[in-house]
Amino acid sequence: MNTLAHIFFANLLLVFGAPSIVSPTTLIVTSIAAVITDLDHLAHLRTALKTHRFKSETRTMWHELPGLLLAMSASLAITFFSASLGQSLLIGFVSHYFLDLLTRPTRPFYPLNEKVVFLGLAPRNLKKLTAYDAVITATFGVILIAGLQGQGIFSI
Amino acid sequence: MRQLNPNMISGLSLVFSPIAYLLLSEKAILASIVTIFFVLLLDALDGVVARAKGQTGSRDGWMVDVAVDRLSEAIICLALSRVFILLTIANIGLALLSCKYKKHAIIPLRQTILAILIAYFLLQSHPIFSLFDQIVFCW
Repeated sequence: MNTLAHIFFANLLLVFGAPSIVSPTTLIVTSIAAVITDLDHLAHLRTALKTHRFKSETRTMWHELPGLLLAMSASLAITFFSASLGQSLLIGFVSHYFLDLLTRPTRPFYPLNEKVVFLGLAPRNLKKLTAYDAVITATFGVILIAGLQGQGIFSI
Repeated sequence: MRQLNPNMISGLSLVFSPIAYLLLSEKAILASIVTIFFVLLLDALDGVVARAKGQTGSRDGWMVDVAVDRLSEAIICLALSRVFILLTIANIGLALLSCKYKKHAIIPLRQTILAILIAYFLLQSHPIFSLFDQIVFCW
Protein backbone atom coordinates (compact mmCIF):
# COMPACT_ATOMS: atom_id res chain seq x y z
CA MET A 1 0.00 0.00 0.00
CA ASN A 2 1.15 3.59 -0.44
CA THR A 3 2.98 5.51 2.27
CA LEU A 4 0.10 7.87 3.11
CA ALA A 5 -2.36 4.98 3.52
CA HIS A 6 0.07 3.25 5.90
CA ILE A 7 0.41 6.41 8.00
CA PHE A 8 -3.33 7.08 8.06
CA PHE A 9 -4.31 3.50 8.89
CA ALA A 10 -1.72 3.15 11.69
CA ASN A 11 -2.83 6.43 13.24
CA LEU A 12 -6.49 5.40 12.90
CA LEU A 13 -5.73 2.31 14.99
CA LEU A 14 -3.90 4.52 17.50
CA VAL A 15 -6.55 7.25 17.75
CA PHE A 16 -9.58 4.94 17.95
CA GLY A 17 -7.93 1.91 19.64
CA ALA A 18 -5.63 3.54 22.18
CA PRO A 19 -7.00 7.09 22.71
CA SER A 20 -5.41 7.37 26.17
CA ILE A 21 -1.89 7.46 24.69
CA VAL A 22 -2.57 9.78 21.74
CA SER A 23 -0.20 12.75 21.68
CA PRO A 24 1.83 14.47 18.96
CA THR A 25 4.81 12.26 19.97
CA THR A 26 2.93 8.94 19.70
CA LEU A 27 1.35 10.06 16.40
CA ILE A 28 4.82 10.73 14.96
CA VAL A 29 6.28 7.48 16.37
CA THR A 30 3.37 5.47 14.93
CA SER A 31 3.78 7.18 11.54
CA ILE A 32 7.52 6.41 11.45
CA ALA A 33 6.95 2.76 12.47
CA ALA A 34 4.25 2.48 9.80
CA VAL A 35 6.58 3.48 6.96
CA ILE A 36 10.08 2.46 8.08
CA THR A 37 9.51 -1.10 6.83
CA ASP A 38 9.27 0.26 3.29
CA LEU A 39 12.89 1.45 3.34
CA ASP A 40 13.97 -1.80 1.67
CA HIS A 41 12.07 -0.66 -1.45
CA LEU A 42 14.55 2.19 -1.97
CA ALA A 43 17.09 -0.11 -3.60
CA HIS A 44 14.49 -0.85 -6.30
CA LEU A 45 13.23 2.70 -6.80
CA ARG A 46 14.64 3.04 -10.34
CA THR A 47 12.86 -0.14 -11.55
CA ALA A 48 9.66 0.90 -9.78
CA LEU A 49 9.65 4.28 -11.53
CA LYS A 50 9.61 2.42 -14.85
CA THR A 51 7.03 -0.23 -13.93
CA HIS A 52 5.01 2.12 -11.61
CA ARG A 53 4.94 -0.50 -8.85
CA PHE A 54 7.12 -2.32 -6.35
CA LYS A 55 6.97 -6.02 -7.09
CA SER A 56 6.90 -8.65 -4.33
CA GLU A 57 10.54 -9.52 -5.18
CA THR A 58 11.60 -6.10 -3.90
CA ARG A 59 10.51 -7.07 -0.39
CA THR A 60 13.34 -8.31 1.85
CA MET A 61 12.87 -10.68 4.81
CA TRP A 62 12.42 -7.60 7.05
CA HIS A 63 9.25 -6.85 5.10
CA GLU A 64 7.70 -10.26 5.84
CA LEU A 65 6.91 -12.43 8.89
CA PRO A 66 10.56 -12.63 10.11
CA GLY A 67 10.61 -8.82 10.08
CA LEU A 68 7.32 -8.65 11.96
CA LEU A 69 8.73 -11.06 14.56
CA LEU A 70 11.76 -8.80 15.08
CA ALA A 71 9.76 -5.54 15.03
CA MET A 72 7.19 -6.84 17.54
CA SER A 73 9.90 -8.24 19.84
CA ALA A 74 11.79 -4.92 19.84
CA SER A 75 8.57 -2.95 20.43
CA LEU A 76 7.54 -5.26 23.29
CA ALA A 77 10.95 -4.74 24.92
CA ILE A 78 10.48 -0.95 24.59
CA THR A 79 7.08 -1.14 26.38
CA PHE A 80 8.95 -1.99 29.60
CA PHE A 81 10.71 1.41 29.44
CA SER A 82 7.86 3.43 27.93
CA ALA A 83 4.48 1.72 27.52
CA SER A 84 3.05 4.42 25.23
CA LEU A 85 6.11 4.49 22.97
CA GLY A 86 6.20 0.68 22.70
CA GLN A 87 2.48 0.50 22.04
CA SER A 88 2.73 3.17 19.32
CA LEU A 89 5.57 1.25 17.67
CA LEU A 90 3.59 -2.01 17.86
CA ILE A 91 0.56 -0.40 16.21
CA GLY A 92 2.71 1.15 13.48
CA PHE A 93 4.58 -2.05 12.62
CA VAL A 94 1.61 -4.46 12.78
CA SER A 95 -0.62 -2.15 10.72
CA HIS A 96 2.01 -2.03 7.95
CA TYR A 97 2.27 -5.81 7.57
CA PHE A 98 -1.51 -6.07 7.87
CA LEU A 99 -2.25 -3.62 5.03
CA ASP A 100 0.44 -5.10 2.79
CA LEU A 101 -0.83 -8.67 3.21
CA LEU A 102 -4.39 -7.51 2.60
CA THR A 103 -3.82 -5.52 -0.57
CA ARG A 104 -0.52 -6.58 -2.18
CA PRO A 105 1.20 -9.77 -3.34
CA THR A 106 3.64 -10.67 -0.55
CA ARG A 107 6.01 -13.53 0.32
CA PRO A 108 5.14 -14.00 4.02
CA PHE A 109 7.62 -16.81 4.69
CA TYR A 110 10.55 -15.38 2.74
CA PRO A 111 13.45 -16.42 2.86
CA LEU A 112 12.22 -19.86 4.05
CA ASN A 113 9.80 -20.04 1.13
CA GLU A 114 9.49 -17.75 -1.88
CA LYS A 115 5.81 -18.46 -2.59
CA VAL A 116 3.93 -15.26 -3.45
CA VAL A 117 0.61 -14.88 -1.62
CA PHE A 118 -2.18 -12.61 -2.89
CA LEU A 119 -5.57 -12.49 -1.19
CA GLY A 120 -7.37 -11.01 -4.19
CA LEU A 121 -8.99 -8.13 -2.28
CA ALA A 122 -7.33 -5.44 -4.42
CA PRO A 123 -7.16 -5.17 -8.21
CA ARG A 124 -3.89 -6.10 -9.95
CA ASN A 125 -4.45 -3.85 -12.96
CA LEU A 126 -2.37 -0.70 -12.41
CA LYS A 127 -5.08 1.84 -13.29
CA LYS A 128 -7.69 0.14 -11.12
CA LEU A 129 -5.14 -0.30 -8.31
CA THR A 130 -4.29 3.41 -8.38
CA ALA A 131 -7.98 4.33 -8.11
CA TYR A 132 -8.48 1.72 -5.33
CA ASP A 133 -5.48 3.11 -3.41
CA ALA A 134 -6.72 6.68 -3.82
CA VAL A 135 -10.19 5.84 -2.47
CA ILE A 136 -8.83 3.84 0.48
CA THR A 137 -6.25 6.52 1.35
CA ALA A 138 -8.82 9.33 1.16
CA THR A 139 -11.27 7.34 3.32
CA PHE A 140 -8.62 6.65 5.97
CA GLY A 141 -7.54 10.31 5.86
CA VAL A 142 -11.06 11.68 6.36
CA ILE A 143 -11.81 9.28 9.26
CA LEU A 144 -8.44 10.10 10.86
CA ILE A 145 -9.02 13.86 10.66
CA ALA A 146 -12.47 13.38 12.21
CA GLY A 147 -10.92 11.25 14.98
CA LEU A 148 -8.18 13.79 15.68
CA GLN A 149 -10.71 16.60 15.76
CA GLY A 150 -12.78 14.59 18.21
CA GLN A 151 -9.72 14.28 20.45
CA GLY A 152 -9.03 18.01 20.17
CA ILE A 153 -5.55 17.40 18.72
CA PHE A 154 -6.27 18.80 15.30
CA SER A 155 -8.79 21.31 14.03
CA ILE A 156 -9.74 22.73 10.65
CA MET B 1 -19.54 -20.90 -5.84
CA ARG B 2 -17.22 -20.96 -8.88
CA GLN B 3 -16.18 -17.37 -8.18
CA LEU B 4 -15.56 -17.99 -4.47
CA ASN B 5 -11.85 -18.02 -3.78
CA PRO B 6 -10.53 -19.47 -0.47
CA ASN B 7 -7.84 -16.76 -0.34
CA MET B 8 -10.50 -14.07 -0.63
CA ILE B 9 -12.41 -15.57 2.30
CA SER B 10 -9.17 -15.63 4.34
CA GLY B 11 -8.73 -11.97 3.38
CA LEU B 12 -12.25 -11.16 4.60
CA SER B 13 -11.49 -12.76 7.95
CA LEU B 14 -8.46 -10.45 8.12
CA VAL B 15 -10.63 -7.39 7.32
CA PHE B 16 -12.77 -8.04 10.41
CA SER B 17 -9.77 -8.28 12.78
CA PRO B 18 -9.26 -4.50 13.21
CA ILE B 19 -12.98 -4.27 14.11
CA ALA B 20 -12.37 -6.84 16.87
CA TYR B 21 -9.35 -4.77 17.99
CA LEU B 22 -11.40 -1.55 18.16
CA LEU B 23 -14.24 -3.26 20.04
CA LEU B 24 -11.80 -4.84 22.49
CA SER B 25 -10.10 -1.53 23.17
CA GLU B 26 -13.54 -0.07 23.97
CA LYS B 27 -14.07 -3.14 26.23
CA ALA B 28 -17.25 -3.97 24.30
CA ILE B 29 -16.79 -7.60 25.33
CA LEU B 30 -19.97 -9.12 23.90
CA ALA B 31 -19.49 -7.39 20.53
CA SER B 32 -15.82 -8.50 20.50
CA ILE B 33 -16.86 -12.10 21.19
CA VAL B 34 -19.30 -12.00 18.26
CA THR B 35 -16.70 -10.40 15.93
CA ILE B 36 -13.91 -12.84 16.83
CA PHE B 37 -16.36 -15.74 16.41
CA PHE B 38 -17.21 -14.37 12.95
CA VAL B 39 -13.49 -14.07 12.10
CA LEU B 40 -12.97 -17.70 13.14
CA LEU B 41 -16.04 -18.76 11.17
CA LEU B 42 -14.70 -17.13 7.98
CA ASP B 43 -11.33 -18.73 8.69
CA ALA B 44 -13.00 -22.14 8.83
CA LEU B 45 -15.10 -21.38 5.75
CA ASP B 46 -12.04 -20.91 3.53
CA GLY B 47 -11.09 -24.53 4.32
CA VAL B 48 -14.60 -25.69 3.41
CA VAL B 49 -14.47 -23.82 0.07
CA ALA B 50 -10.97 -25.15 -0.64
CA ARG B 51 -12.21 -28.72 0.01
CA ALA B 52 -15.27 -28.15 -2.22
CA LYS B 53 -12.94 -26.99 -4.98
CA GLY B 54 -10.59 -29.93 -4.48
CA GLN B 55 -7.72 -27.67 -3.37
CA THR B 56 -7.01 -29.44 -0.06
CA GLY B 57 -3.58 -30.39 1.18
CA SER B 58 -1.80 -27.72 -0.86
CA ARG B 59 1.22 -26.06 0.74
CA ASP B 60 0.19 -22.74 -0.83
CA GLY B 61 -3.18 -22.81 0.94
CA TRP B 62 -1.46 -23.59 4.23
CA MET B 63 0.81 -20.57 3.77
CA VAL B 64 -2.07 -18.18 3.07
CA ASP B 65 -3.98 -19.53 6.04
CA VAL B 66 -1.07 -19.33 8.49
CA ALA B 67 0.06 -15.86 7.34
CA VAL B 68 -3.48 -14.46 7.57
CA ASP B 69 -4.01 -16.05 11.00
CA ARG B 70 -0.79 -14.54 12.39
CA LEU B 71 -1.64 -11.02 11.19
CA SER B 72 -5.23 -11.36 12.43
CA GLU B 73 -3.92 -12.38 15.89
CA ALA B 74 -1.36 -9.57 15.90
CA ILE B 75 -4.03 -6.92 15.24
CA ILE B 76 -6.49 -8.34 17.81
CA CYS B 77 -3.79 -8.68 20.50
CA LEU B 78 -2.86 -4.99 20.20
CA ALA B 79 -5.87 -4.30 22.42
CA LEU B 80 -4.81 -6.85 25.05
CA SER B 81 -2.02 -7.06 27.63
CA ARG B 82 1.69 -7.77 27.02
CA VAL B 83 1.12 -11.49 27.70
CA PHE B 84 -0.91 -11.75 24.50
CA ILE B 85 1.66 -9.76 22.49
CA LEU B 86 4.29 -12.21 23.74
CA LEU B 87 2.08 -15.17 22.69
CA THR B 88 1.60 -13.57 19.23
CA ILE B 89 5.37 -13.23 18.83
CA ALA B 90 5.82 -16.86 19.91
CA ASN B 91 3.18 -17.93 17.40
CA ILE B 92 4.90 -16.08 14.53
CA GLY B 93 8.12 -17.87 15.51
CA LEU B 94 6.26 -21.20 15.55
CA ALA B 95 4.76 -20.45 12.12
CA LEU B 96 8.24 -19.83 10.69
CA LEU B 97 9.54 -23.05 12.28
CA SER B 98 6.48 -24.92 10.94
CA CYS B 99 7.32 -23.67 7.46
CA LYS B 100 10.96 -24.66 7.79
CA TYR B 101 10.35 -28.17 9.19
CA LYS B 102 7.04 -28.76 7.34
CA LYS B 103 5.21 -29.59 10.58
CA HIS B 104 2.18 -27.68 11.83
CA ALA B 105 2.78 -26.59 15.45
CA ILE B 106 0.90 -23.39 16.31
CA ILE B 107 -0.97 -22.10 19.39
CA PRO B 108 -4.70 -21.58 18.63
CA LEU B 109 -4.46 -18.04 20.01
CA ARG B 110 -7.69 -16.51 18.69
CA GLN B 111 -9.69 -19.47 19.98
CA THR B 112 -7.95 -19.02 23.36
CA ILE B 113 -8.78 -15.29 23.34
CA LEU B 114 -12.40 -16.11 22.53
CA ALA B 115 -12.59 -18.55 25.47
CA ILE B 116 -10.95 -15.98 27.79
CA LEU B 117 -13.38 -13.26 26.66
CA ILE B 118 -16.39 -15.52 27.28
CA ALA B 119 -15.04 -16.25 30.79
CA TYR B 120 -14.40 -12.49 31.24
CA PHE B 121 -18.00 -11.72 30.25
CA LEU B 122 -19.44 -14.37 32.57
CA LEU B 123 -17.24 -13.49 35.56
CA GLN B 124 -18.00 -9.76 35.61
CA SER B 125 -19.71 -9.89 39.02
CA HIS B 126 -17.24 -12.37 40.54
CA PRO B 127 -14.67 -11.20 43.20
CA ILE B 128 -11.82 -12.53 41.02
CA PHE B 129 -12.84 -10.19 38.16
CA SER B 130 -10.47 -7.27 38.90
CA LEU B 131 -7.45 -9.62 38.82
CA PHE B 132 -8.74 -11.19 35.63
CA ASP B 133 -9.23 -7.74 34.10
CA GLN B 134 -5.61 -6.82 34.91
CA ILE B 135 -4.26 -10.00 33.31
CA VAL B 136 -6.29 -9.56 30.12
CA PHE B 137 -6.17 -5.80 29.55
CA CYS B 138 -3.58 -4.00 31.68
CA TRP B 139 -0.24 -2.85 30.26
